[in-house]
Amino acid sequence: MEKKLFINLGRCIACRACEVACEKEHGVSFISVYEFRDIAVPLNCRHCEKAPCIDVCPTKAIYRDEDGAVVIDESKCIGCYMCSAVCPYAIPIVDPVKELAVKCDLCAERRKDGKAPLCASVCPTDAIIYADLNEVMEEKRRRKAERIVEAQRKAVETFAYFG
Amino acid sequence: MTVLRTELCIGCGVCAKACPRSAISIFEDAVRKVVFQPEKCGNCSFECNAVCPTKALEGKPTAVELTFEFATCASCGKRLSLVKPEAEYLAERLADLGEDPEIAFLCENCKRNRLFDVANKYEAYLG
Repeated sequence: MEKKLFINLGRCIACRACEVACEKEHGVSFISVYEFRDIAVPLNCRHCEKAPCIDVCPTKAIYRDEDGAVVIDESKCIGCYMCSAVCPYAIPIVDPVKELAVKCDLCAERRKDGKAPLCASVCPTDAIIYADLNEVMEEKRRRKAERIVEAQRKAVETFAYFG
Repeated sequence: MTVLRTELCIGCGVCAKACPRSAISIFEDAVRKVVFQPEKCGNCSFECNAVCPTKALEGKPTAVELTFEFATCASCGKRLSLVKPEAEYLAERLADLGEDPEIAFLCENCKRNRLFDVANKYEAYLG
């Protein structure tokens, strides 16, 4: 099953480890954490299923690779930034040196070696995870089970106390 | 054959960026001017024809100078880097995809501010 980047906004503590790691890997950070009053949003390319950037690119420089990541082919990009204009999150940014559009490629180099994208690897609270849907569901079930056990133990203790 | 359908041109300037001989140039101040100079055309594989998103170009372009007004952000009124027909074209493409066409008329900051609503909805959904 295809692996995806899952983001749990409730777990993000805005430590910006992902930003630092991304900048170290790519030279520019393709992920940014936006802090709001009560929640932080780590935002990178969502690799949309219906990606408007792929549809709109006049030179067909944007394509979906075998892992489902939306990637820009540097040799074809001419820097018109139409992708950025149609992106709901304004994700593609201007590379100041090459003057081309650049964006998150889900760490293509790391994926070749079978590793997870760096932002998911470094996230200390697992707010960003790289997994398939079944793995995520499995984790959710395990946590629910742990809660049931905890509740059961509490119930037993309470009964023991009151006799 | 030299054809440029000026009514189809959205002034995106992609052709100018693709042209290997700078026969098409863009000038930007208060408005964007796209200047076609077919006399500069030479050995090329008609890159401009291939990239034109509305297929306004066929073969060599005709010598013409087109002026376009810049679009403004629908939310904050800031001038966008897109010209009006270009933004309208992108909005149409977004509508075809089932996305919110409004996105084409928003600046980067206003797009990101929309996140606030998304984050709140997400919290409400998680409970």
